[in-house]
Amino acid sequence: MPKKLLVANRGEIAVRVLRACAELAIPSVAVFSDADCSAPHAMLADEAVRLGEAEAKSSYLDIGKIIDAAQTVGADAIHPGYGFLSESAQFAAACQAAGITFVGPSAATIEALGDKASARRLAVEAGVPVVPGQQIESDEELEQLAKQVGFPLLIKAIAGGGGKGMRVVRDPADLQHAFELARREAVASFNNPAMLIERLIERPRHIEVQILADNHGHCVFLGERECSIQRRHQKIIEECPSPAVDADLRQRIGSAAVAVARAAGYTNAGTVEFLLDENGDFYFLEVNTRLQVEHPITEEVTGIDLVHQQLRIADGLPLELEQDRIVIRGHAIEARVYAEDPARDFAPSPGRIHVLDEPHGPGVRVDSGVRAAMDVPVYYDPILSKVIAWAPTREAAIARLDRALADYVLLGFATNISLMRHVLGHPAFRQGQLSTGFITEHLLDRQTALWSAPLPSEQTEALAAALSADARVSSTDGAPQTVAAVRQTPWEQLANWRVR
Amino acid sequence: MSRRVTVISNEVPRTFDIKQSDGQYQVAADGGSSQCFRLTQIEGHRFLLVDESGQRIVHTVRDGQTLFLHVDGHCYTFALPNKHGQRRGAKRGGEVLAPMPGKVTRIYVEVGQAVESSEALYALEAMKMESVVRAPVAGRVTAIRSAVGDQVEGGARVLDFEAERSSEASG
Repeated sequence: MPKKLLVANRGEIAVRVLRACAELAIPSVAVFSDADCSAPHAMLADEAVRLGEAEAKSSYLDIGKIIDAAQTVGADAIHPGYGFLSESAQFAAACQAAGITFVGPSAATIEALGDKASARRLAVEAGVPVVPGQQIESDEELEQLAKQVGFPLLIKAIAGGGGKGMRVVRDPADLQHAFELARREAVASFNNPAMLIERLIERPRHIEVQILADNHGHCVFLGERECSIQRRHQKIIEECPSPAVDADLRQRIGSAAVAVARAAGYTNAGTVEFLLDENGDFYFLEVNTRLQVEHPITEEVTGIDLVHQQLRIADGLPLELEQDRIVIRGHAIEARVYAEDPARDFAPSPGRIHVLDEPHGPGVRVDSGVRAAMDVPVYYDPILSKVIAWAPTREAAIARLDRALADYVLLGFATNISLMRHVLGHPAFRQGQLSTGFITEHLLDRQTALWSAPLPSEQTEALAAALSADARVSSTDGAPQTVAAVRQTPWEQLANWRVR
Repeated sequence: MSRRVTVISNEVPRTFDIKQSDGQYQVAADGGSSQCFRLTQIEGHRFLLVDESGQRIVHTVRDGQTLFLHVDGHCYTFALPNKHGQRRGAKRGGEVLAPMPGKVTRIYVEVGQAVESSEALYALEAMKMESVVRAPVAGRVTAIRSAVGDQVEGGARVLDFEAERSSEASG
């Protein structure tokens, strides 16, 4: 195990990894930016090192500063969390060059899987299905390629994004016209006429497989996660197992994930993402070469602590897990709490948390990176915490998560909590009828103003009126207590004076 | 002795007559029904609400002219009118206030420029997301107070904007 671990991240994932350090009796080091000097992660670790100004590029994305910090405090391993530098091959290589263990796959693996085209090639070589499609080299081969790919299909610009230069074609008679329109858009928007043709997967589900691989050629999968409930291509609710995956499909998709991992020479924890269509066919999407936000649901149903496993693997220890002894027990669902306002098109809503009361109770886990009287900074991702509910059945897990979200008190700015309760209560969700278009299909045409909370009843308004006139209600005047001021004084330097 | 209190609920002012004695409330909606409940402070932000349907815990805090309230599993935000009967931060015709704190990443307009309703004025970036702030009505930009790269507070006046005469700004 590492002698001292530096966590190169912030927020709930830094807290999660720091807790694992405490459990394994590994001395821990946090890093923080000026916006985070009194954030929970910065205070939880055994030591904390300031990286720099709030902007991520001056702090959590600055490879040089993080390596320096590790060397200054004598950390021999770095856990990158997710986001920031977690999928940077350059960072993994810099750690290696400095003689520091990077908790994750090798730089070469990160690089090979980070490039979508090369990851797709790896999957194809491993015999894993990918969404049928290819680049259209010349106008003449369009019809031939369309026949190979099959209808309905998608014509899209290689340089595309935001739906521009993209056309869905259902009828072969529309093919030529759609192609020309899409290409014209591609040239106008991206100045690049290169086009792809791809099978259209209708109402796809996002299914991903957690894998663990050690440095000795042993690789296992830990069931799947369904992450179809998304807004703006960002997951908000994930569950394990997927209501669409039975034991046979689990075995096939799990084996496919392991095949991709082996082909890539993968080590440590990783996630292989797939699309699952309505016929139960799955297609490789990409590999995330890091711990995922939604990893806790896998931990809850398998009883395996993924961060502990990551640290063991990084230390060169062999996996002690046998595939046929990894059992999915019960059902787990996670809801991501974001500082964003669903009523205003999910605009970020950073601000001060005046009151925070997180849920508790059997089967409820809260991985949180925030505290009361904290200013949630504008500089980083809006994720605040994750609420994970476990229960023996899906139905009971949904009820438990809904109860926990109802108990989640965060006063100070808009969050997506009520929206998630709305999703959990939706008949299509209860029936497991999920697809990546769920929010758009079932909720977007509703009055979006209702999303941050249901319209208050007259009783609620009367209560608000009573409270607004009640002298006992506390006001938030005055700045919250922070350790920011302490960090500026020489006392902070004490750590460096300590006799070693 | 009764007291008239207004709260603004989703932009709509709601006025109640409140009688209060020792945490026991009788609240009557303007020209509507009346309800009774008792509010006992448990500690700090936490109160126990008891009415004829039973009891529950509510959390509440006041931040300036905003009242936050968590009850029945949802968080509600109410604006409170200030002394002049006007909501703090209310949009007057000539103001386009930053809808959130963030960094000004783009300014699409110049001083003196006439803009159509909903034309893009500037873009703000917060939490890795960029949002475009648009003109609420047709009008003219009279001053620009921030530069690209500036970090601004929520409610900051990034630029001055004058609504066209005929628009609702005069009202």
